[in-house]
Amino acid sequence: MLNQLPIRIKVFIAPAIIIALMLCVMLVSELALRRQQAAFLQVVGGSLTTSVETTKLLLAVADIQSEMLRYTQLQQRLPSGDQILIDLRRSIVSKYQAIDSLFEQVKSTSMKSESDAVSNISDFLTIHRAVSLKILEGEATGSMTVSTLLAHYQQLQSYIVELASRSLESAQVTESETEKYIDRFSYVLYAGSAAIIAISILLTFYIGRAISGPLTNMIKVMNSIANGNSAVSVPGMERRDEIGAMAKAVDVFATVSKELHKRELSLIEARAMAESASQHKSQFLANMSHELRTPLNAILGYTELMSDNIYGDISGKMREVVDRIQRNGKHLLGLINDVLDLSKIEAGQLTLSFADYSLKEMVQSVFTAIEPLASEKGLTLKIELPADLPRGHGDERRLTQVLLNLVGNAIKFTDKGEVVIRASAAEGSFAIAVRDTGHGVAEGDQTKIFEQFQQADNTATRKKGGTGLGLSISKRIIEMHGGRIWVESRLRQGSTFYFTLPVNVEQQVASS
Amino acid sequence: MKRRILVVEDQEDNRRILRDLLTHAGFDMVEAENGEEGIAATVAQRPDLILMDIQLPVLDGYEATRRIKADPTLKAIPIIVVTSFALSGDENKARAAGCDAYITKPYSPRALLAKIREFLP
Repeated sequence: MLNQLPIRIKVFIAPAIIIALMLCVMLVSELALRRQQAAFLQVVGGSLTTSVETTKLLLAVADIQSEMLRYTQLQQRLPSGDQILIDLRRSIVSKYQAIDSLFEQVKSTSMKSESDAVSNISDFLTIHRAVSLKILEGEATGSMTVSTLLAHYQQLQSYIVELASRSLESAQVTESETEKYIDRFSYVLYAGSAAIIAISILLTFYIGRAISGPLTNMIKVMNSIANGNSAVSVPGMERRDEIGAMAKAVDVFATVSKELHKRELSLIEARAMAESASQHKSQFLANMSHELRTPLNAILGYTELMSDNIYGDISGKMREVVDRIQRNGKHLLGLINDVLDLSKIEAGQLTLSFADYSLKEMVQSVFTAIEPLASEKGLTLKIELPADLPRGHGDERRLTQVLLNLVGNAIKFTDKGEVVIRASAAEGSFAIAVRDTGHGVAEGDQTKIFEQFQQADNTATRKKGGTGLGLSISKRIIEMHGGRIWVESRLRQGSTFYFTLPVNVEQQVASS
Repeated sequence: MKRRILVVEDQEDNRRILRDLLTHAGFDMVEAENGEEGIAATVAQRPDLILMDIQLPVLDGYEATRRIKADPTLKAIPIIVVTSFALSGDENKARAAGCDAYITKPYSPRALLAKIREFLP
């Protein structure tokens, strides 16, 4: 029942019940105080007053008794008309009147249980007074009378003392009863306070749980949805409180999330399919290029053996044909290698393997490999290197491939003059330039030549050979090293191909 | 006395080219078509040098090289591994297997002969 209440009401329940309990305790305390007050009044206005008044009465009676004794003594020595006797008589009579009013007071404050004592006092007071009056009026004299008066007095005195002590006793009884009551009341008060504290704690806990329980459930459900568990159903949708509103919102969220999850799954699936397709494609290319190269290698091998006269001397015309077969075979091999490289780059499968290398040695090995081609065409191939170059860190084989490509192109497109390879290092970067005196690249073609299957002049290409893939592959390799490649050229005045790359590729990549 | 070279190669044409090349260059050539045959031929023929292709049936060139190099009576025989240009990481694997040198396919017969002469002058 409590669970269905709105939170804003739930938070009021605990304080409200606690306040009500506190009011009960205050009420009980008030009643106890009132009773205490009544008991106090009973003692002060009742028993205690009786006791005080009784004591006064006792003194007054003693006073009259002593005056009566004095009177009986003076009566024997003085004439009855003497002024002293007259004054004394008057005083005694007025004292009896005072005693009457005192006695009335005692009677009014005394309790019912003391009524026998009060009536005894009343009887003996009357007798004492009657005897006294007889003496005062001279009707009775002598020692007999005096002793009678004394006996009455003693009787009266004992009754008054009894009443006083009984009043005192009754006051004491009331007091001890009150004390017991107060003890009991404070016990009830402590127990009540403890109960209120306990009830408050339990109630706060229970209400807190009534508020947090559904919220915790909701959080669990939301977490589960966030973790991609789409089968979960949102509880509390039927509720009419804040939790119900929240559950409805969460349900909408869950539906959207389910949809998103489904879409995500299908995207993952689609990506996996695309990846596997790409994987298959590059695997196919790798296999294919191996299959293509095997017979081609055999052709090239036999041709080389033939031109080396291993199968016997060959005539001049035949040698020319064998050379053509060899050139075309090498071109085909180059194409196959380039297509494989490019397809690997496209598939993101070309991985560089970094190691230390010497740029100087690299340039020299390229020089050694290409120099025969240059001298064949009557070109001068030169190297310009500073005395000290730092050791580089990168993929030596791929960088050699780039340099071979640039120098090979320079030789290919230059008919006379020279090709110069220049390398330098500054500020953590290598800068390599390959300059030729060939026919140059038109400004409009200077970016195009780095794109796939683009050569500045297709007729020149056909004449010179080349796949049109070399620069594009070089560009990707340099970029994978974090470097840049470009050309500066003017038609008929030659070209300079530049590339820069970090001396230590891995360090550069790590710091950027 | 003629130096003996063992060629472990599954391609008939490649064996023929090497046979023509090496015989012409004055070597004695023995052949094996897979890694297992290669190991058996090494034990039986005690060649002066082994040319080991990588992609071989039954037992590949890495494993054959590793086993030959693990045998103390055979490990002195130099092994030139023929790796494929197409597969990157081959060189590292060839070195790890314990070969003495490697040459990348496609190779020029002339270049191969030069490499062999480094070991058998």
